[in-house]
Amino acid sequence: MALGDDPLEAVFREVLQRDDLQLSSISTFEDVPEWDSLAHVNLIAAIEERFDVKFTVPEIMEMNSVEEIREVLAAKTAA
Amino acid sequence: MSELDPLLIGIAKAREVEQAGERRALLEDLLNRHGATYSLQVLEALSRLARDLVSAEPGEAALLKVATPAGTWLTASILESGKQYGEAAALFEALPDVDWGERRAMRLLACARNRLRSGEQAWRQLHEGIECAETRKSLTLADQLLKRAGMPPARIRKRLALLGTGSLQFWAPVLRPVAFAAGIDLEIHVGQYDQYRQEILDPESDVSAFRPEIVILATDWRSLALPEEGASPGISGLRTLWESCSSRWGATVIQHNFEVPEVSALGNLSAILPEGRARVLRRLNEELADSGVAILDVDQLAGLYGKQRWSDPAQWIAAKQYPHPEALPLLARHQTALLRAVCGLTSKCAVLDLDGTLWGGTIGEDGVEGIRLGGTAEGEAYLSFQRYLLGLRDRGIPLAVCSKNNPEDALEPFRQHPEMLLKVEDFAVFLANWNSKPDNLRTIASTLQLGIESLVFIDDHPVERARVRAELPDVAVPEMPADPALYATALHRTLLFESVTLTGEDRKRAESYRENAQRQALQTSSANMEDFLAGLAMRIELKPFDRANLPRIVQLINKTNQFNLTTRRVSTADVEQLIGDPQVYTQFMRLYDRFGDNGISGILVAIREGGSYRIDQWLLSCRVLGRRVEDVMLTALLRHAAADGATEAIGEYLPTAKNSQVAGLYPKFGFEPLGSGLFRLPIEYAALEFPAWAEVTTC
Repeated sequence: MALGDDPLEAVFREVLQRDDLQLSSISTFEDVPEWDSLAHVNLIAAIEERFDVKFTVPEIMEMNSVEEIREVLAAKTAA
Repeated sequence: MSELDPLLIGIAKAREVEQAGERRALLEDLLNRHGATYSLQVLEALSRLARDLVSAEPGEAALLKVATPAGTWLTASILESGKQYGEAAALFEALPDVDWGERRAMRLLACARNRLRSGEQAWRQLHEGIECAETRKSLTLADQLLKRAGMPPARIRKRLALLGTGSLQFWAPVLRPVAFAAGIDLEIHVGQYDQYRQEILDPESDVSAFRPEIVILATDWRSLALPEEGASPGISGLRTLWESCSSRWGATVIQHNFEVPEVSALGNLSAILPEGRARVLRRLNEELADSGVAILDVDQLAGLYGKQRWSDPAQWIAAKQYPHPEALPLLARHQTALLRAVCGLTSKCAVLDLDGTLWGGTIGEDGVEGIRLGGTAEGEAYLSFQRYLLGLRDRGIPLAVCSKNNPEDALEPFRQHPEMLLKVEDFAVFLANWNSKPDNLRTIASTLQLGIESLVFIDDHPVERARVRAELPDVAVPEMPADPALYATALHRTLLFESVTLTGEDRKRAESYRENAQRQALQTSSANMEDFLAGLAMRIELKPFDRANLPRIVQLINKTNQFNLTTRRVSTADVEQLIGDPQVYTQFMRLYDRFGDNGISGILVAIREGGSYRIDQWLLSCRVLGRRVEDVMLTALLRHAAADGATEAIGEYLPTAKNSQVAGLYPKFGFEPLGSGLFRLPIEYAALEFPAWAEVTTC
């Protein structure tokens, strides 16, 4: 069986210090106790570094769940 | 990021393979082929891969072993994922570094993490890892490990309040480890966003309850409520806050000065018109400079980091982050330099090697006319470093010399070289001898009546640096770059000599140290040599002369002055005749250590005369002195002589102006003097075992 690798999941695991985290099973802040507002700022910064993108303030305001983060990131990397 | 890295591509490919055995074969091939070095991204990808392998196919993962550096990283990560922390720590510990920066930090921190998980201490790994860490990520990781490690014994503890204009939560996990590596354990209280005035003035505030001993007041220009362009309120408001910190808590204040920001409606005129923001902020910074409070020059730091990156408007508006989170390691290093100064930990003496540090070349070999100083570009680079050192001396930091040289040789350039800027009188202590450098550093510290931890040891030679680090972990040993043009920058960036004030008395201190030193008698003590030697991981290759290496052998014989027992010069034809002569034992020595290949650096020739072997040539390049490779060379000869049925070895010492350091060599090995410079050792009394601290190959 192939070993999948989701780079966004890797960023979440690293920032939230949770090696067992599965993005498929979480959605928002409420699902992960480690995902507080400080960690959120860290997440955004780590995603910017990992994917070599720079989010605008309106984009950052929009990125409040895993799904929204994926959407903004997809739009960003497709451009 | 480099998506073209063959390791990154290969790892991604290996993940897609369906069959576990096939995946392992692919990874082994990849790591054998490309695993000699690795990027930071590769380290992360390998750690992640290790976790996935261990959870999906632990049997195959356990079989994956490739001895290249990247392969070892994967094996260690697999062990860690499988909870074999002790084994993982040992692999991370032994892995050679590809640089002295972030990758070394990641390795040492990985080692520390595994040591802690297996219940061992990891203070040294944490300390060294933090010292070379470059990113917020690794420092934050170090902070978590420090918390897990608990409190280290007997260090300076301080309560620090971080107060200021922005949201400062991210600062503490970066500042705490950096301060730890500088010898200060900080308990940090982080103030609320833009609440610093209330926090300081309100007796009921959390900060008041915390009672800080040191306050870092990180106000930036946004706190001044400047109109877009126009007059400012001055610093009287800040003065009130400093006074309150001092009178209520007895706290020392470190005040950030103001960055002059990039964006201004007035553009260039901002620096020129009286109401321009740049001009107003520069005037405020002048006022701060005259205020008597300790100032951190943030405007200079922002420029150093690059103001375009230092200040990120999106980060400020969305998260009140200023400066950019990735600039925090630099900021923390500078904050810590001032914390050291406030705590009285500023380094107090710069101890300098000579050859390769103050000039190019080796004075004992090249002579005054041969060393590089001034004149050429290389010589200019050494001069510019000397100029920086003179600047240190003039501000009251005493300089000392610690050099492996004959004293007369070492003094010669200072007396005779026309370009030499530093004079013998500029040094508080001048030690040129053949003692070990740790011994000499101890002597310098006791002569100047300074603690050993106040010394900074500056040497271009990695082996000498490693030895001092191993034997005297409290001495600061900056990593020096290969290029002498960068010496001053490298030393400056250690920030070891940062102070918060400088008095007239301070400036004269270098002179008074020198006077005190002249009154002191010198003393030396022994050091733990075996540990140092074992730490070098030396591999010594001994081979008989051959034609391929003839040019280097002849050159070494004819160039070497210091460790040379007979100083007999030879022609290529002379040496060629020795090859294959059954009456002659020839040996050249090649030395490898954990820093690399030192090349052919030793020669021994002995001639069979009746029942004895007479040592006709024995010499060592000055690059490998003080590492006891001579013991190995002699043992190899004695083993050969014993196997050949000889009964004694005869040594010979012919004194010259340069070779006094080996005058006592034969007696040291148990030879008895026969007079006329000859010495004798009966082979039945000789030790024929090679020492344990080196791996020896002979043929």
